[in-house]
Amino acid sequence: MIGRLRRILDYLLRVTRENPRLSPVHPAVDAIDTFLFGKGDVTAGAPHVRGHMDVKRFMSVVILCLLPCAAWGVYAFGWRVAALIAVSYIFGVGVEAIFAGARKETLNEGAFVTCLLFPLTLPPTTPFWVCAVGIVFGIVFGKEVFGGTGYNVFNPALVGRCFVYISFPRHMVGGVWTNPIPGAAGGFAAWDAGVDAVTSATPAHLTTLQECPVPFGDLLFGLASGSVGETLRIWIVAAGLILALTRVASFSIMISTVIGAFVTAAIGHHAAPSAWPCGAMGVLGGGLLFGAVFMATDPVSGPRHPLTRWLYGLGIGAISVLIWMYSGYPQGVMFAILLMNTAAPILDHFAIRRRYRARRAPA
Amino acid sequence: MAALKGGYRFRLFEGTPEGTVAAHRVGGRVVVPLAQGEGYAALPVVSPGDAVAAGQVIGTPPAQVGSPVHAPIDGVVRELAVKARAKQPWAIVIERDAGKAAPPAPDTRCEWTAAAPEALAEALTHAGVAALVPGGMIAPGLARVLVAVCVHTAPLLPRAGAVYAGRENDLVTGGRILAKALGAQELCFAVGRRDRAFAAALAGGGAPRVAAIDEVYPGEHPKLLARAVAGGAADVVCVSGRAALAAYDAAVKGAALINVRLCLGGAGLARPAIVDARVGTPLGELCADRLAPGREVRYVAGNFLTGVAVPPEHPVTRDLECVSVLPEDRERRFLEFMRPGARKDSYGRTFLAAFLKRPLAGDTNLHGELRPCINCGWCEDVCPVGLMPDLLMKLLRIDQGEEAEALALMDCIECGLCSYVCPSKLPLHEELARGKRAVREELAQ
Repeated sequence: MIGRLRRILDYLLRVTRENPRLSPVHPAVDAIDTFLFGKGDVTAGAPHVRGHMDVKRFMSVVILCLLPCAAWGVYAFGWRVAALIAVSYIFGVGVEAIFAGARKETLNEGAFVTCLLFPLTLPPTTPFWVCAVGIVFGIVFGKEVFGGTGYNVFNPALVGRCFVYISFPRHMVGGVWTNPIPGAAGGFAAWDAGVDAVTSATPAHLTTLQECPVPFGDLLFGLASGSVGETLRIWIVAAGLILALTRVASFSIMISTVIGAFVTAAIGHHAAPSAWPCGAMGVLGGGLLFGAVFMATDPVSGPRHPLTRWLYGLGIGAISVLIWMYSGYPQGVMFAILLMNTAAPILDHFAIRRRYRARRAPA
Repeated sequence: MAALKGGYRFRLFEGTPEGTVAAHRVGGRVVVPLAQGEGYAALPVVSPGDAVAAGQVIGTPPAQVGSPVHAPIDGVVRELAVKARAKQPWAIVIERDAGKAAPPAPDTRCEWTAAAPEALAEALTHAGVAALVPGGMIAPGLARVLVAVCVHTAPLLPRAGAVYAGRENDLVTGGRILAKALGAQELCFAVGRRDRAFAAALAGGGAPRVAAIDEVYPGEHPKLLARAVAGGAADVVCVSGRAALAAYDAAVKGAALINVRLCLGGAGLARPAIVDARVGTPLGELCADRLAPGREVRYVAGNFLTGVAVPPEHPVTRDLECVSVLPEDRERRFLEFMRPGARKDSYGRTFLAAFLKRPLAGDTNLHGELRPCINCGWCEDVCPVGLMPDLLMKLLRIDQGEEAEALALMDCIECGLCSYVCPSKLPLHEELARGKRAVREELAQ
């Protein structure tokens, strides 16, 4: 079967190369061919042997870690979530392909992660057109205008979310949340939670009450309301460990984000127990864990220096709790990460300068 | 001893030689390069048709810095090989000839314990040992600390103990001889931490100091060793253990440096081995009956991280320590990146190989496509001298050489690890090396 696929691809490659009318499709065919079979290139010089890790596998690991989150999103909120993800992929990869074609570059695998990350941060009732607008904006203005993968200042998925969050608040805040669909089959047997299940209340765990309004167990095991991908927190913790173990994402960023949120919330709770969430709620509430594991660790928009990574994470954790408490927005993780994305280069600048000053000093 | 920051502990690769040392049959035709090892290239002192004896000087260096080149076999000079567009010959071709015979080469043996350091230095230089000493020169006062490097951290190499097996005492004596000739007050043998039996044998043989070195690549690099062994002092000279053995052979046995102990490794070989070979033997001939059948291979002189790809006609030189024979793998496999990878090495632990003990596959495939840098930071993690290779490369690409220099570009030791681990397959090693050359050329002007 693989042999037949190979022959079909060879035929398509030849036809799209030779026929001028089909030539615009050639980069797409070439990208599919490369994705499936690789290039078979060999090293040109030293080192003659290279490690086996490539960007495709790098991104695949992230996607594998995200899949249980997405599957749980479908289980909790119905098949509509799967459609939301499909919309994100169609529009996101589409716009990425257009830019890749215009740049005469190959499609970058990072887009596949962005297109999965983005819908997982949305409320389950988000209209499809909002999803499409968000992912296109995120990819174009979050990434491509900066020069494409590797040059973006902000996390593209969060740029998209931030845009729709501010532009279409009617669809993003207020009556957009649903509780998980009950029953053993859950959302696997339903399209969505139904009009009746929609609540205008912000997810209960994001409202600050005197006592923690939702049991920690419900938060951990995905039985609370929230954005599509953020509810199965127990898996997000496991995914964080997998990403750190495989060296795909920085453990120090994840752990420092968690510590930052925990400490900030705990201090506030100690000073004003009635207004602030406790430390654990500061970590488990909202999308903090999802943001810490999958968003803050984006290597391109994050910092690179070990010390800076700690500052960055602590900043994200602290700022997200502060925004949650003081701004009126129910969730501060997104703004916190975007803010710290802005700060990452300057933090790195000082850390690197410090390192080289130490280096130049006589031993 | 300061632990190495960064670096990479290579696991066992398929085709790593082990076990006993085999002697390679001396061939009938050798090609002896005039530039071998440190120092200036020698100039030929024989002409085509001359009969030569094994160990006889056939080329002498034009200056103090360099050492003579010796005939590896008895025979007749057939030609002085000249490369296209070059004036000076690069090699002397010698063929065995039963009809003609030269008188045996003079003996360089000397009573090393009694000899003056200057006389010893001259005898060693004459025997070609200087080619294995940094700078290509042996003279008293050149070193305070002499480190004999007997540790292998690069892939496809056996434990150093296996290479020096049976010659531990000669190694210690050779080290003392070389230390005396260089005027070194301290002699240290750098041995792998896991190579305990070998370390014990060296200590038992009278080695004044044996330093345990972590087997983390590139731990045996002189710059890192000098720091680990002597706290980064300037007058530390690191030589390979082979140099100590060569010094022993020259001073005690009176033999010129025409025999080389080589590690032949790589998945391109069905039977990897440690062999004793004559200088001038073509690598193809050396590996001919060891190759894995039906595979296109690439010969790399040295380890696959820093070595140079050479044609099979490339001769063994006296400074060569290992040859990596790698299968050229151009095959395109369906969804290769999704496979479990029981034998795939990677800095990121995403392949099954990270959790298994099987020998790793080493071939020349790029294992991915060239992509923009994703700032994963792996190159910085593994850099043994604490650089940021990706940042340096980006600066060099926009002609910011000065800025790169300020970020310690010149500290790069060109170990190749950054390119090895890069998931975007960027030629970091190559571009940093080119950047360094450009800076040096600018300084020279």
